[in-house]
Amino acid sequence: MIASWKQEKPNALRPIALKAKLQSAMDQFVGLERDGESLLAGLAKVRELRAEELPKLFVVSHRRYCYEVQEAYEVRGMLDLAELVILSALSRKETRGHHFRVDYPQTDAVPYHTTVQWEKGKHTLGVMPVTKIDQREDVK
Amino acid sequence: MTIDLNIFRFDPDTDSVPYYQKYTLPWTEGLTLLMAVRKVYETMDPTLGFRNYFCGRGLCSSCIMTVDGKTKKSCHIVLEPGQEYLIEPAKGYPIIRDLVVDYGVKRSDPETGKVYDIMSGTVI
Repeated sequence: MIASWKQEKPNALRPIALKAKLQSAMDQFVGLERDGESLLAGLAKVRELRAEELPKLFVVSHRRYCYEVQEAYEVRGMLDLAELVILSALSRKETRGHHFRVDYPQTDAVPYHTTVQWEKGKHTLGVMPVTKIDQREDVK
Repeated sequence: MTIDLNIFRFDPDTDSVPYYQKYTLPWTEGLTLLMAVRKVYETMDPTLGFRNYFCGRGLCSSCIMTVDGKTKKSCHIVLEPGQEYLIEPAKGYPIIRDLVVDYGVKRSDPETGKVYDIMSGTVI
């Protein structure tokens, strides 16, 4: 992965620039007030960034204390994490705490956990009931 | 209004002697030295090496640099417009690259000669 980042390429992009793009996209689409439309737009934007901008990453090569390489790894993880945040926000169709959905302003009477699993580039969504920890089978 | 930073550059792998590089950047009110160095890294020179981990409020001391000959916490130095600053790595530590030094080594007190373990802060 580092070898491909170190290759000279046209339209090269610094990790710090991709971080800024991701942060502004998350701020715009997945901010304090969310609705399904903006979350889906944010998901498309994050996937577009991963498909089109991530291969353009270029880091200057230093053997010693190369902070750019670390930032490149960080931004790759941030793209994965951003997608998971949006997917789990989409799966919770209610307003709870600071997860404020404009299209679902009510808080459900029965609380539930939403889970997102990310394995080998694929995600699975799930719902778990909220139980006390001493009643849970897997903890006993 | 601008400020000038003369920053110490040295990569032991490629350079035989250290050199100083001058950066001129716009001054904004309340700009600290640490933020100015960070701005140089972000906007002007991606090859500049410095410790980009900091608390920003003078507690962790990981941002210490030598400014005009005195070792100071760079997050506490508010820059003044039109001035020129000489920025060097913290004194007494081996240099890894540019402004990054190795804090993990044992270091002796110049006055008493006692040797301290930097990480635990105890006398050996």
